[in-house]
Amino acid sequence: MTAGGITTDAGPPAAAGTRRRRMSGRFAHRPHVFLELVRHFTTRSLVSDTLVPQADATRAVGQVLALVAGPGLAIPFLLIMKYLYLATTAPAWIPAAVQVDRCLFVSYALAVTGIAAAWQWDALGLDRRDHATLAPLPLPARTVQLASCLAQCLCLALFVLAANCGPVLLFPVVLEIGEGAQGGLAQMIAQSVSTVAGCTFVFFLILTVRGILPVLLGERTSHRLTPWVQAGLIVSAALLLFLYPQTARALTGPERGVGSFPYWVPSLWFTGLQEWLLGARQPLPAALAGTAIRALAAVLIGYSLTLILVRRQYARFGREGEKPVGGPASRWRERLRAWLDRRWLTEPLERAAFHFCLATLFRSRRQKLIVTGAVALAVALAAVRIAAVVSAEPAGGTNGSVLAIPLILSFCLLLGVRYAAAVPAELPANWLFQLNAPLAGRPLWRGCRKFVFIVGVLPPLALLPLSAGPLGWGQAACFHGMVLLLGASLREVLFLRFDKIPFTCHRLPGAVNLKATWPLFWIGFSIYVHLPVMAGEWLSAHPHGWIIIFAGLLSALIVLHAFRNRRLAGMARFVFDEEPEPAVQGLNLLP
Amino acid sequence: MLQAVRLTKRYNGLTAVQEISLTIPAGCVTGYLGPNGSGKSTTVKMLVGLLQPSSGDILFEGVPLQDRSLEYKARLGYVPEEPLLYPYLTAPEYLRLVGRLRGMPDAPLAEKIESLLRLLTLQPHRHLPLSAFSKGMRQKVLIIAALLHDPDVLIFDEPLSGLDVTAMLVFRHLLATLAEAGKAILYSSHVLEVVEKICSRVVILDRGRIVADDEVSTLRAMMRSPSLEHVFTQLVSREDAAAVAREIVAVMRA
Repeated sequence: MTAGGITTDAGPPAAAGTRRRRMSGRFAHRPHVFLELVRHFTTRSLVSDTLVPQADATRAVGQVLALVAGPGLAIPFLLIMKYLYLATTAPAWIPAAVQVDRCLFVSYALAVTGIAAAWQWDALGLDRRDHATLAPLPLPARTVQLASCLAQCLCLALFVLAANCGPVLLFPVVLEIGEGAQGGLAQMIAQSVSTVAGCTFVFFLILTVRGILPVLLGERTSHRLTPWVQAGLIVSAALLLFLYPQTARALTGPERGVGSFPYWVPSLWFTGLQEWLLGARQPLPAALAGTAIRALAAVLIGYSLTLILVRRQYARFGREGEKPVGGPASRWRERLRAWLDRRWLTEPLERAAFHFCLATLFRSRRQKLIVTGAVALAVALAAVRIAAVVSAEPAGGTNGSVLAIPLILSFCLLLGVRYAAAVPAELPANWLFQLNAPLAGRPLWRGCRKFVFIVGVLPPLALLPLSAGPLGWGQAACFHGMVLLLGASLREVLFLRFDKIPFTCHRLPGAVNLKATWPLFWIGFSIYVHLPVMAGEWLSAHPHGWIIIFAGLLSALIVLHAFRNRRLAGMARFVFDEEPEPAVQGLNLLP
Repeated sequence: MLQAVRLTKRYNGLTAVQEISLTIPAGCVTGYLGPNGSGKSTTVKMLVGLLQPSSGDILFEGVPLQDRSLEYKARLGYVPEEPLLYPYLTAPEYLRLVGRLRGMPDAPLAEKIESLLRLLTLQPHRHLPLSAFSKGMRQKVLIIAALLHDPDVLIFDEPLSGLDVTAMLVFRHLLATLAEAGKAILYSSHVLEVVEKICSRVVILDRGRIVADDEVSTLRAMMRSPSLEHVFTQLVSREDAAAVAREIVAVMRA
């Protein structure tokens, strides 16, 4: 017989009754157990070791929610100026601007929820680790699943609250200030309903995909594909936000209601729902509202069905052990590895660092997710750029956008690799490097640099055929030579003060002050992408200029390289523990 | 060969190891015994260079370690207490990484890895990531990693945890053979029977201080005890084990 999840021997009825009474007495506090489980699952779903590593749970949850809420609180304040300006200069444009901003807030809510859910993919549901921890405890499987389900709903509620509290409370106020419009409460209610519905749709859609994947593809294949699915979902969510100016035209511009485009974009469905709730009775908002409601219903039904699959999968964890993944490397990979070792990685230490970094990046899920996230960002930015240019100049003028794509990819990829390199993979295992790495710094560092070259600098070269369209093959080759040199220089800049072996150093939460440095990154990105594109376009007419460009870039690279080597020569040993900020910061006024 | 002189380690005011002095001579297996929390692993981490001592010196062939730390580390093999490995690497990949970090050329390294994996029966699992390995299998990988470069000093921190009986027997013979070959070996454990069989000399640690340092036979004779377990109980235990067991059961039933 089973009592509270524990299988016990069936004894005589009287003994069984006594045992049952004893069991129920022992676990009379079950509501607390259930709440404890819900709390555990909710915290786990929100804690991101990638964003806030090794922080305590409360702090980590606070930081993640603050990250989600921050832009939502800031954007309405930025909009005040726009509406004040429109009110005095072009009041007729205000209704269209309001619709675009409604679309912005809906897109923001959907994108944030989608990115957060895709990023926290692993933590959102039950896995083998949960089974290993919870199965021996006297907890029925349905209690665990119910707690997990409730935790998912709580998690959604927190995301919704964090992403929407700012816009929902502040946007009606902004409208009243700028437009002098009344009906702030109606706007508030309509915005709340539409964004909550949108977030629920996205969140449960991702959970449904998460639940269905292992059933459709098998545990092993889905495990391999998951980071790519996550990246695809992050790209889609980011595109919803970045492309909102273009998508919003389907609701406001001359093409309003033309074609089937609005019915393919979820953010437009829920913007339509909002308009419909605010009283708009035109065919388009009504149709979009209908689509939104149908889509939400379909996703909720799909999610309910997924719960059954998840329940079966959880039960299967108990019956089947984890199937080991792995097999011999393919022949071409072995040959490539041997060739690299023979021709390019001349010293054992170089090989050690290079292959360790490569294996970590492609096999550690955390690192893989960071880099796929960076690629996703690059894809989203490239799409935005192309969409902006195409919609501005439908007849042509896309050359610059096409040329920008390798540069966007190079920048995002290098930034992603740099960030991933600072995040430790299996920190307790780094004793191996602590014991052996000080033996020789420079060859190890050469291996690390070569690794960054392969994964961060080289991939944009694959886009050569894309650039060959507008430039021709010769010019495109020169342009990609420039991208290569720029990438190599950016690598040196990004890793200039990186005195660590990638993935082996302890990282303190909040050490990267993104709040203060993001403008720098943005300016750097703009310069890195726009100047070379302008140069490329100009040089297509003046090919001799390439010599000057290459000479300049090569000189910069050599200087950076020399600077880095000098720093490396003065370095006593690699860093494995980040120094915390001093409790008392002196002004260094005394000699 | 390796010597610790008045070694002390303090963590935030708490003294984990206090002024311990011990010698690990070549050609001998030195046992390092102590109850949980006595400072064994702290000492071992200081001896391998993973922790900086708060005070005291470590001498390698009579020279302070800080003066020839690189040479010492090149001649050191270490098996940590926990099998902390990179779980996404396969055993040959991990061992290749270790060998290359130690500057070993690829061809002999590959041969050694192949042979050692075969001898420790890990060859059939060579394509699996270490995350799929059992604790004993991971321990075998760590033992191979410590032996790859033919070190002169070997420091083992609970190396037998998780190993099956056959592997344990192989390991015991291996230690004897290595000692005969002139290696200096420190064997830290709290499994007394194994230490008694393997080690010729033992150092016993209690609450961060050394309470005994001699040949096993001498200690037995001095304490008039039939076994090392009795010696250990007399020197270290402050509690009546049977009484504690009875109390545990009483608490369970309360």
